[in-house]
Amino acid sequence: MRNTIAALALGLLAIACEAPDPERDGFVVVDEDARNAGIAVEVSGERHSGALPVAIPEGAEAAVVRPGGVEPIAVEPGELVEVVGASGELRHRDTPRDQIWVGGDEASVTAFAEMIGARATRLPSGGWAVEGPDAFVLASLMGSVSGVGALAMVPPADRPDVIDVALFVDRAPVERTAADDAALAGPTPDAASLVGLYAHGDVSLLLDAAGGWSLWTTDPEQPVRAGTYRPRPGGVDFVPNDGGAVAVMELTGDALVDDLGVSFAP
Amino acid sequence: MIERRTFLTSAAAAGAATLSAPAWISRAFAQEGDNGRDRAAELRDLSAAYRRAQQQGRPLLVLVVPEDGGARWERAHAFGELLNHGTDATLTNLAMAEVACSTMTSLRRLVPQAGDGEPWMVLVEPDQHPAVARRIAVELPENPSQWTDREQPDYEQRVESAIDQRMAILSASLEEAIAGDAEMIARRARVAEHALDAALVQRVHAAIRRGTVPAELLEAAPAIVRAGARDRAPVLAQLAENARERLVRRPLPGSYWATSWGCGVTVEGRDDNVMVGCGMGHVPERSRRFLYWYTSPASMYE
Repeated sequence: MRNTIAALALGLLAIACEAPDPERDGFVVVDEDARNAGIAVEVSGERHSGALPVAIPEGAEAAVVRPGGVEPIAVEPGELVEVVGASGELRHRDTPRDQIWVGGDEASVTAFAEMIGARATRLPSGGWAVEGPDAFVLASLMGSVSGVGALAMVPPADRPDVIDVALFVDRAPVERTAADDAALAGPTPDAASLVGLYAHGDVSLLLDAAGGWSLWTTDPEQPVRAGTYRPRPGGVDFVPNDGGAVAVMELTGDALVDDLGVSFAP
Repeated sequence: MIERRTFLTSAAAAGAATLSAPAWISRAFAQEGDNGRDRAAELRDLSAAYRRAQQQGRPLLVLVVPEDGGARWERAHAFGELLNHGTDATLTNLAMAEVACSTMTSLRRLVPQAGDGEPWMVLVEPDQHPAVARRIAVELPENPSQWTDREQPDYEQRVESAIDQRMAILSASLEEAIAGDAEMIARRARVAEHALDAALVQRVHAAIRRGTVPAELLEAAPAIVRAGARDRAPVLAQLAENARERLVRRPLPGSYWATSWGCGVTVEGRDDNVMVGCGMGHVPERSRRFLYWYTSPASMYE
């Protein structure tokens, strides 16, 4: 009930405050090490020291506040500036929209995910991927959430494109490279052997006997995404039918595993 | 086969007993929107059966669960008659398949090429991709009416004849689909040999030559046994008995076994059965044990 009320309040807040727009506004996030070093962010004179993203409205003045002084920063529309480490290094990247990586205990993160209408998936690194419509933007409205923090916004650097698509988060098509294709090695599985229902928690992934796939959480009639699949060396290519990028999953034993170690088992 | 209409009427006459029956038993004899199926579990069970079939190199025979309660009742008993009282020849054919029960909704989700409508059975060949699905449609005779024919002197004989005809039609359609001729059986053996471990295949052939095949090999490689023992009646009898153990004594994926003898239904493996309305009708002996295609009683209490 508390979460339901919180979600309702969040919705009202979004309406009342004009929710941030990731294409028009920018964002800043300060990671745990930077916060512990006394670094914060200031937007139009208001200081923010929480663990969640801070929206920088178009035209607003933003600055990183360090123990040694205030450093104005420029944040472009659609850009995320991460303040990383005790030195407060600035990293610039595109703002994610439907996902946010957080740290925290299971109860806190799950409650946080529910409050923003998203789903939390534990990562092998010990953090969490919280995914849902506008998850990142909604998180920026929260200010701070007890037990949720240590944002690690940069995904593992080995194959970030695969990580994005392997979690079935909508992305623009990307050009696959030879390095991508070489990253998964091993025999090409027999397509017939792949058919079946796979599950990861409450997420179901069905590879049907006609070469199609669909992904859903509660109702198979309303899949989150669907498309066609094809075996590839060491795994399976998932071609979404919405024009999104091809997702690659590794076949490990009978399970399909993405680069974050999220495993869908039959 | 018991007449469903008679059963319902008599159950209604049982009055308080029926009214106080828990939801699951009411659903068992009524036609409801969700049809008493746990769709998620059904797809899960069907997928597991499909994967077993694919990994063991055998076809998947899906006994189609109709959405309509009346049609479901008819099929559940017809399949029960065949499985419980089928000949060794029928059982050796069935032995070569992985058998599961499913609605067409779930089957089409996993095997889109299964097509529309509700055939009695669909045989899927999962060694191919896309898989080949063969629809098996039959027309079966119904029992004479308990209302109009019960007092006829040949009533019992006509009931038994109808059962014989149903079993014969189902058995013939299955033989055509699974073991139509020697080449089809040989092909199934080749598919199994390709799918299974080579050492296991060698053990199967050696056991056939000895004339005694252990149960685990009969269960693991039925098509190889069937093809290799075509002239060895004792081995084929072992195969039929093994099929009875797998398909008749154990529940099929997507189904329970249940028994009806006129005083309600007892679902096997449950200790929470409920008896309602004795004297609801005569159930021929061969029709008493049937496939029960509803959610478990325990889950329906919730």
